[in-house]
Amino acid sequence: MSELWELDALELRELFAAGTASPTEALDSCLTRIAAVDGEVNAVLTLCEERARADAGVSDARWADGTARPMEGIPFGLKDIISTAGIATTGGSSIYADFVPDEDACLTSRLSEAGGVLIAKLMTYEFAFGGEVNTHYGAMRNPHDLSRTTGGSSGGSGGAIAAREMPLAIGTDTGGSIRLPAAYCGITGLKPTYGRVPRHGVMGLSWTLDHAGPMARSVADVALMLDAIAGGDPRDPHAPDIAVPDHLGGLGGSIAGMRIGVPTTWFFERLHPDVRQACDDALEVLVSLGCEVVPVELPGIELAERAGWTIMAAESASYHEGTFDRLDEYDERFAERLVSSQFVTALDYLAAQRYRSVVQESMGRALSSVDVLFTPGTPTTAPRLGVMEADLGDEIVPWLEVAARCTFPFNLTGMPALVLPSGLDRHGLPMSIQLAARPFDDLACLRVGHAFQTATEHHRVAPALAASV
Amino acid sequence: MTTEPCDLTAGEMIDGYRSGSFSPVDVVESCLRRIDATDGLINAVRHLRGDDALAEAALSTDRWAQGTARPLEGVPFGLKDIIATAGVPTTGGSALYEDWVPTESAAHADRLVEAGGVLIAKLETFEFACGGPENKTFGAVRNPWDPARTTGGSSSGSGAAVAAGMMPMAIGTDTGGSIRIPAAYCGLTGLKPTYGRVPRHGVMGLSWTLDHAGPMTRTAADAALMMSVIAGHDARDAYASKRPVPDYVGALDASSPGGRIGRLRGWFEQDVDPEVLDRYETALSDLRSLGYEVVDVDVPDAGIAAVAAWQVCYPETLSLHAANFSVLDDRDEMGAGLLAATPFVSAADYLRALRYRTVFQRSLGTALAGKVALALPGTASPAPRLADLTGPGLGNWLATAVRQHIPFNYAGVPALCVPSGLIDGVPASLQLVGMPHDDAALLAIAHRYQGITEHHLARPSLAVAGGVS
Repeated sequence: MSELWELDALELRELFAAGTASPTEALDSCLTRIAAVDGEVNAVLTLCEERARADAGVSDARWADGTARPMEGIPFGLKDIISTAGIATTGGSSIYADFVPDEDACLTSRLSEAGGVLIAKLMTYEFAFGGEVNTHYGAMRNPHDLSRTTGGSSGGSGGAIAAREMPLAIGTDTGGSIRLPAAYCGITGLKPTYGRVPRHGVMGLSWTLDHAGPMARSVADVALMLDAIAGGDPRDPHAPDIAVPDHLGGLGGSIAGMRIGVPTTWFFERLHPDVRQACDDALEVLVSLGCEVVPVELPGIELAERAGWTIMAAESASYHEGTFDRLDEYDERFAERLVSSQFVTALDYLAAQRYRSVVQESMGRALSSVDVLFTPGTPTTAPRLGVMEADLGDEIVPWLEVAARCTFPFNLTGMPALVLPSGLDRHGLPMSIQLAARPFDDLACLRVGHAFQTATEHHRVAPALAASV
Repeated sequence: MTTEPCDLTAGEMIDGYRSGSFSPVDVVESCLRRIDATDGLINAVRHLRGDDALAEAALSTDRWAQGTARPLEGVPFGLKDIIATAGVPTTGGSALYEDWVPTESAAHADRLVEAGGVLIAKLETFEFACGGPENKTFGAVRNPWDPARTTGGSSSGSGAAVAAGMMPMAIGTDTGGSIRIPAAYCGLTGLKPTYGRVPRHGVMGLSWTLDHAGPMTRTAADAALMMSVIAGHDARDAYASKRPVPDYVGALDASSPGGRIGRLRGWFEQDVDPEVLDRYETALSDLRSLGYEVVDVDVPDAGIAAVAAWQVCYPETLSLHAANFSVLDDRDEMGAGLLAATPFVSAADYLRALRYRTVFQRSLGTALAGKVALALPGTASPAPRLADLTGPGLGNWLATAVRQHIPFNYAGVPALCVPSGLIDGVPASLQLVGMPHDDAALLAIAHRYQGITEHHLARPSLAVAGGVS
């Protein structure tokens, strides 16, 4: 029998429901796993053992007395830019090393109210924008190859889930920070529709691009977590009170007849041949499931990533203006970005913001004839730490030159975008595909992704680390 | 002396139509005679719709006869020439658009026509609503109270045309005072409504965060009448409020006067002409005699708000007009001056200014707590002489003129100017400011004030004489 730490959230829930395992046993198993592997992976920043034991105890009782909630007793982690009452929330920065919020983030309290057990605060690039080696808290290492990055900025969330330290975590995504680590670590991550998940209590990076969302080892687990956190919150003016569908309940049906749009430009222009092959293979699976694959034009897409970087630079500089005089305390990479951001003019910023509607219209036109867009998740697999070069097959380029090209456009448009594993490359590293849909149709991505995972095993591939320890 | 029909208010015109004392054709003919007699000197009219207006007036006359009259049936109105009119030239006050004939009308222009209003003229404006009193292409608009003086602007033609009796109502737009300054200088009632209350679809933009369109009339009752037609959501304007439209006309007399009016001290009374302050004190006494209690309030960050508003305005203006302002020397002096500085506004400056808006909105909210309105002088001085508005004089005037206004564009709150007496034969003005969506309350206070005062009935000798000899 599998260890409890190996199980997905829904698998744990079945055992809890059957009474063959308890939340406290699952917590103990995950804590043991963390103790065994996190020294190498470095995903955990703060262990929340006390709160977790108390919560798991409550969950034990609720399963026993028949009052279990949807996530009752399931351990989860939070990227450490998400506020937790009474528990340090560092933002991955020395500037906030001693910051202990007195209020939970909206999504933190929703996860707790759904019965989830917060087990750990997880590593992040400093303020979700620093370097892949956090100057203060070290490098996050990829469970599939410890010499490689997890990607980021939700690198701790990606590493923790891939290493089987916990089944669920929350990441945040401003240009790809949920989806990059999901892609590199071989897990499933959703950047939900902009505003679908409230950001109250989440440290901001760039408020018109920031999203929070679930990271897990299956689409079904992502749906479970999304159902707990989605929905308007009056404390977040960007989170509208739009009805939330039952994402988990919406999975499982046939996807025959769904139309999959494959962009003819941009997304497939710079990528490693292995990643492209995996995309082609994934499309064949979708065709075998009855989907129709059609090429779609996305005029204007070529400037979307550039616009995104401009907005992120401007808004992050504005956000951090109050601590600009403490530049030397920042992670070196973040400080560099903060300084160079001062030279973004207001006109550049407005041009970038106004370009958003161009891309939205372009995507909207494409999605008027297809149900989801299909792209690679990332153009390459995880780069080596210390080198941080992206291997495109025919050329090797600095990582960030290509890393976010597939993900960033969907931060700009606010559309939901799901990244899920599509196999291993020639080095045994995870590759991924991405599915994007109309705003507030997160379910379309999840339905197609779930059907794909029902027909394939890529998402079940555990890193060698997991097997060896 | 008999009153010419063109000198009647819109309300009086409607009463006359209803009773059959005169017809829309009589009124439009009278307006056309007034335009013919005075506009050679005043230069308020950019495009006259003489025959078309007469034809439409004839249809309105029929509707009154048939009992199918609509709310503004047969009332002539004018539009600032940055407001699009299908089939009618719309120049933006610029040589660049001299030959532009839109194919679609602005949302509120359509509403006025659908309510039975007769568009009699497109009215002069500062170039792109920012070029300054001396329009290089179409000439300066002259103040009917003293043709040596400016009307102010940028809704210069709207102010002059209504003051001279060319029409009883016009639409102006207001980014930093452009409805209220000409209303004050020309002895009119002018309302900058709550941000988003009147849709801007079809209005050439200047600064989308600050732009408003609203009524310019000779009475508060007429402004309420106009608001009841132009307010309300339009799906083509992303910023237009979806709130239900209140009964502005019904609210004029719905409640008895009373409550506290906060007198804005500090910033808003600094550098104000002593004669203006004198008229202002009298106006406050009049408000007291109506039953209002006048209490002092201070909004300590008003000066910051004014600076911040400019930091928002510069880059948004250049963002909208980048192509138009590529050759600065060809543009009118004031607009060119504003935009020459724009490249030096950083994105951080812009965002700081945008983010301070909520702070200032809270300051105003605090000042307004427990009050029905705030009061301040409409403008710091009466209308200056056109000859003084060149070079440094122009810049100084702009800074002084917008001081009483731009903070309320920045906050998005409603602000209304009403005449409060004459200084050396030219008008002074009282301004009232309210909470967002309290436009009706401001109109009601102004209406009661006009019920016990006669300042709004004073007419320039030009209008009384019926023309220039």
